[in-house]
Amino acid sequence: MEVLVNVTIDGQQVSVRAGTTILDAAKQLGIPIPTFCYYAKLVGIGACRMCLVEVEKMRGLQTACTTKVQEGMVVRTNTPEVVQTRQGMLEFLLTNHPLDCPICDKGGECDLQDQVFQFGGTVSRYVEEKRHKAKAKPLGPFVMKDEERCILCRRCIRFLEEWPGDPELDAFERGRNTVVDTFYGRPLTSPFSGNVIDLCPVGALTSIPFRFKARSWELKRTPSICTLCGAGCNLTLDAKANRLLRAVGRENPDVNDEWLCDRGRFGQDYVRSDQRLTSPLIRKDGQLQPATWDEALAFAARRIQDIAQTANPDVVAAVGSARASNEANYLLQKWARAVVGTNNVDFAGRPADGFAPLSSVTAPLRAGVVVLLGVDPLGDAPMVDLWIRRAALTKGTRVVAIGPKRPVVSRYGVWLGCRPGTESAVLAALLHLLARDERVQAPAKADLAGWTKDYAPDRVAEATGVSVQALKQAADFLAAKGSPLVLYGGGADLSPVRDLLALLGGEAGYLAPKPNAWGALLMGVAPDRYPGGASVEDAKARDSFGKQWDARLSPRKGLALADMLAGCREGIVQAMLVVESDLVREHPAAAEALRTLRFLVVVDQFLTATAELADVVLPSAAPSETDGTFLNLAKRLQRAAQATYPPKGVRPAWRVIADLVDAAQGKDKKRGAESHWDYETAAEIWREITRGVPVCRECTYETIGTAGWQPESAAEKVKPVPFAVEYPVAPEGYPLTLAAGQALFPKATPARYSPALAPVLWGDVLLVHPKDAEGRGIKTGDAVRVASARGAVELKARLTDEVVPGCVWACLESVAALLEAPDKATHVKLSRS
Amino acid sequence: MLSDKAKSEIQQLKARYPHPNSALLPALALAQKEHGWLSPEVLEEVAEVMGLSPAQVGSVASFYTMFNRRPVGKYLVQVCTNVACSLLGAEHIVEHLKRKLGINVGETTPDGLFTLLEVECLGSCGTAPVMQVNDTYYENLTAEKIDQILAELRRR
Amino acid sequence: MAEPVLLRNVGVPDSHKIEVYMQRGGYQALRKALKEFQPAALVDLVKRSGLRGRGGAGFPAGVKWSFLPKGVYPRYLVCNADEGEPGTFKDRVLIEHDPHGLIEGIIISCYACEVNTAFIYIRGEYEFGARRLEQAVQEAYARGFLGKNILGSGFNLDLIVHRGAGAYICGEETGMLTSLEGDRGHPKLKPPFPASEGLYRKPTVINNVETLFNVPFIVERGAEWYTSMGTEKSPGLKLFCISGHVNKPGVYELPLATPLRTLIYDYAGGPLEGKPIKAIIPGGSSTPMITPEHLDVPLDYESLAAIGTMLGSGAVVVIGEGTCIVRTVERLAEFYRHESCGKCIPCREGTDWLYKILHRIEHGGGREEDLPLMLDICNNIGGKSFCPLGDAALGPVRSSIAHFREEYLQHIREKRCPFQD
Repeated sequence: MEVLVNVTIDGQQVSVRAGTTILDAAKQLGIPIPTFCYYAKLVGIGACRMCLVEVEKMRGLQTACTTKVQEGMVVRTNTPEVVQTRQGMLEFLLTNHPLDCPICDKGGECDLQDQVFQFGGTVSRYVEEKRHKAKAKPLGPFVMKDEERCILCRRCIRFLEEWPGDPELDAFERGRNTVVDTFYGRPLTSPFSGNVIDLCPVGALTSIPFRFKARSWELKRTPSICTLCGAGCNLTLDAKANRLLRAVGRENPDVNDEWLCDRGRFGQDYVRSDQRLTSPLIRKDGQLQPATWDEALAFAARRIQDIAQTANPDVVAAVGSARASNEANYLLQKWARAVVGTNNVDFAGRPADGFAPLSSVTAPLRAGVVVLLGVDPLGDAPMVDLWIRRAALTKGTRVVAIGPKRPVVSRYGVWLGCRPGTESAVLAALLHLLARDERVQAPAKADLAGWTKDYAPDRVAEATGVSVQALKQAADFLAAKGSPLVLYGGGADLSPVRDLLALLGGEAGYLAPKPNAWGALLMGVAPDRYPGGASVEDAKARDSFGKQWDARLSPRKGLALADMLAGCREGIVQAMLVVESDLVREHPAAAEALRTLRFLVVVDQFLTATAELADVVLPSAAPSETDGTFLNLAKRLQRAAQATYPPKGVRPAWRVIADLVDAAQGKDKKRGAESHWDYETAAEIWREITRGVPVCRECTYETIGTAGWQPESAAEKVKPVPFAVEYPVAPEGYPLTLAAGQALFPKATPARYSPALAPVLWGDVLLVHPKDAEGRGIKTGDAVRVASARGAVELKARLTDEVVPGCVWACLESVAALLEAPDKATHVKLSRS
Repeated sequence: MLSDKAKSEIQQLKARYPHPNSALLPALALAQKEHGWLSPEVLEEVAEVMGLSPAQVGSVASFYTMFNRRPVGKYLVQVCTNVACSLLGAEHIVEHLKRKLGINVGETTPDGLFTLLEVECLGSCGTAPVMQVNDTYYENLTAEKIDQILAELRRR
Repeated sequence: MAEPVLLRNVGVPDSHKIEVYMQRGGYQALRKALKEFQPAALVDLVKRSGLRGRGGAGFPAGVKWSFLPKGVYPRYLVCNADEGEPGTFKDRVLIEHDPHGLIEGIIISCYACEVNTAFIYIRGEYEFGARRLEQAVQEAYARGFLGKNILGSGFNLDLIVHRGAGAYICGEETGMLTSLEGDRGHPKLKPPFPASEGLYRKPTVINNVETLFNVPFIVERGAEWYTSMGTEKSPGLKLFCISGHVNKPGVYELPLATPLRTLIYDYAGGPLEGKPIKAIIPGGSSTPMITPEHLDVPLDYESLAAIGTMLGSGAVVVIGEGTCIVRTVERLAEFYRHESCGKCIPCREGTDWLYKILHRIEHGGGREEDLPLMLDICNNIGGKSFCPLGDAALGPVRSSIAHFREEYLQHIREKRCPFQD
């Protein structure tokens, strides 16, 4: 039961929960108490003395930020002594503050400015020389430090300790000489370093990319979300004169609290890249050349129509994207189904059958153990990584990482380093141990003890390369703590995962690396289902959508992406429309397949590797340049709002698709009320979506609002399932296995086009274990050739024990062409170039 | 670099306390004893053995005046100039040392023998003025006494 | 002069060795305590003796011990040997000459407080003292006074000598704990108080060297013996350190409430070179200075408080005529700004500002408005800083302006220090 206590502040009474601080109680009454070091999301230190107040029956003044209210407490925040104290503290701070406000980026949003304005004195009595410290000292590529402005509130230090657990900043020297710094000025490396900029109450830590770009009050501020991974962190996009200049964290306790990763914070500027496409392109004489929209749309529409009419509609295919909004994806599949007449619709990274979303981005907070099944959240969804760290630091959550590459968060537990493709076997060994552990009590135990008899730790260790000791430690964490949260990636085998949940409870979820994988699926960007999930073979659904779209819909299932690509070579697919998907950098067979097409249209912001193969390229707006909704990795529906207009000559993808339909139907055909393609705004498309998709029925742009909307989902009861593990066998001549993943700063579209991220982007690097490098004479920095049965690429080697022996690791975009299938580890050979 | 012996001694120190972090000050003292000062490289090694971040260790080292973060001479001459010593002429002692050593406060003699520092109260006010050379206190100082001490140290 | 008690072993050859200490009756109090007392009875005994903290704050030791929350273990005891208050050197004498006396006091106190791990936090500069303590601790282990099942009593105690590394703030009890935890010596928030959440967030007793040193004598001779000396509120013996302009500076053991004049003239041999006394700092550098009109003040907590100053650590600094008060205060201000940890704004910024103004006045740049400004700065530090260091810095400034305003004004008027040639 909650205990309430009554407290009087400045004569006003309030009842608050026991344990509330005076500061929070005053906040409830709307009584302002100034603070500097206090920050609600950091452990209080009571150091700045700004919040001193009088409390009856207590000697001296008390810090409101740390003093807990007690029944009958009488507090005064407006006595002469309190007023004088605030003036005194501010005078002290200003004695050595440079007061270079006219050139300070923090100006206009500076706590020190605001508090001096509200609580400070009017004259300066300080006539001594000010202390001088380092100005404009960069701490890596993102954070600029000005030591003279620093008021030593320690928020930055505390954030890095308490949230990401990266204690890279600390106070050095002491007393008046104290400065906040990294160890001998080294660059910050925490993936979450940018948050210290938002946290800094003064201009001591500012953003290097944003430096001197605008005064804060000139910024047009748009609440939106980040679309650079699947987490969908809430942020505010700040623009001036239609230039997107800055992203800052925006509070949403269910997603990102208020933090951003550095990819999300600094990567949004890809929209300002000078490589943006600003004109449609048409291939003439083998070269892509600028064209007008009318020309390009008419050409594209006519060619697709011709090809479909000459053969049949099923030679046309549409590829949507987990990067594109629901609105664009919805229109794409509507175009394919209602205009072309085919169900050949799919996208790369579509969650497989049986895959589940996370219950929330914050799910790690509720886990006893986070099991990473071949994924590294730092690359796939950095905010999930942050929540894992937070859970480890505040709740003692453990991490069990299974896979060939060691994730950073495995420092909070154990890394079961195994050869790629053997993750299920490692999980089986854990099940073997758990099914025989006294601490585990579940009806499924007996079944599992039987099914896992072939997976004794020593046998699995031999087959996978994992150590028996690590297996035992992992099983111990799981047995002791329970409630696992299993995070898996694209190619995961879910049978042993279900068994783990059957034993220990908890949850499992697909760590979708792109912002809208679940949305594209829900929008019907799948060969066999309509928006909302009904089968294309369901006559009732077909009838209903046919009526809504005013078209006869095909009853045949379409081709899935892999089949489309395979079909290209055989002429089964002859024309393709690809929207905001860089297939060539993600999908093994794409480059080769797309080259064999008769006609390829690509809609994207950049001339991607895929767009380079196109016959027509149509430039589309980024999520921050139009409106759209996205469904994050927890299936939370959120709006990416328009912060700027698209560059001249660029249209939102949804409009491009609609315009393509218009172009096909003839320029002279007047768009009228009867047209189903007459959309003025993305919101209109969304309204149409809600009519066809039951889960979205009640949901409008207004109800999504700035906080997003999370549909209720019922937890499913997990039943244990028998399983068998197949160990990969290396073919002759390919002794190593290549695993591909995503880096924190990937060279994938669109992050690769961000000017701010350029200095930290993951290069074309191959991680090699020293043992594998040794015999091949490979050193860090050497150019190496890695080859699979499908092809070869040249990369720079980096020797590291982050990967297991026998495994090489690279970013997906560097090696997509070598893989047997996306998400599938592939046998390779390695040599010095 | 930090010797294996020092590393194992730090490990022992960690085990001696209810919480291993308590060994940090003794560990730094040990490292300084071995190297004369705490270079960034040594601090990093201490951090590694302690299981702390270099920033945490560097921060702690910079808080305490007895940790040298720059090389010092063979003899670290520290003269108390706080109130009791000052009342009995500590300034003259400092001046005399500056003259004799040919250096200013904060400097090291070119031969690397002496570094001269002014320090706060050494807790020897009853025998003021006082200075500490490395670990040894020299009390009731006079100019003549200092000359003898310096000569003696030079002879060693 | 009476037979010394606390200083009884000082001057005895090899007094730091356990054989000598034991020959002279050492560790008998420990035997008595373990045999005749339950822990609670010892706490009660020390309470009844009225022994007050000798570090400076003067809080009754037994009462402090009784604040330990019942039934919460482990508990720790930290002996504060970070003697750093300028003018103070009594603990060093005890540590160097009678380390076993301290260790015996610690063992008995730990038994009373049900502590099984204790620390002596000794300032880093006391290298010699630390070595003596280490040796003595080894000897005590060897004789079974430390370790498991001490003297067959079933009581266990480990004692760790922990050296500081040069930071006055670590003499502040919570700064000491943070330092002992391996961090910068930043004071901790109170509440929680160390008695309930101290070292490693466990109940912790912190006592000064001299305080603990008194305990064996109280055990041997009884509370009544202790209260027979001094006054009702300030009972017992105190070590006084006297330095500055006197003929025989040093540490003297006197009952509390001995007049200041007696200490200066009868023990310390009177003013140096017969120079008249200009001012006296009565209890360590942070205590407000007084003038010779108060020479007859009894040296006890209450009497000194009554004249606006403090007994502090019992460190008397005598300042003779011919000394520049502004220069002396400037030097003390420099000390406090040097030792400010920097955690809180008023202490970090205020001590720096005070020093800069004093330095300016001493060097001929003073202005009349500097005096009210300094007092204002003092008000903005006083009671507002995170820990007592901020307040400590104010004693010399406020008291010197109160007693020597004219000397400040002379500096300001003449635009020079009148004591410099």
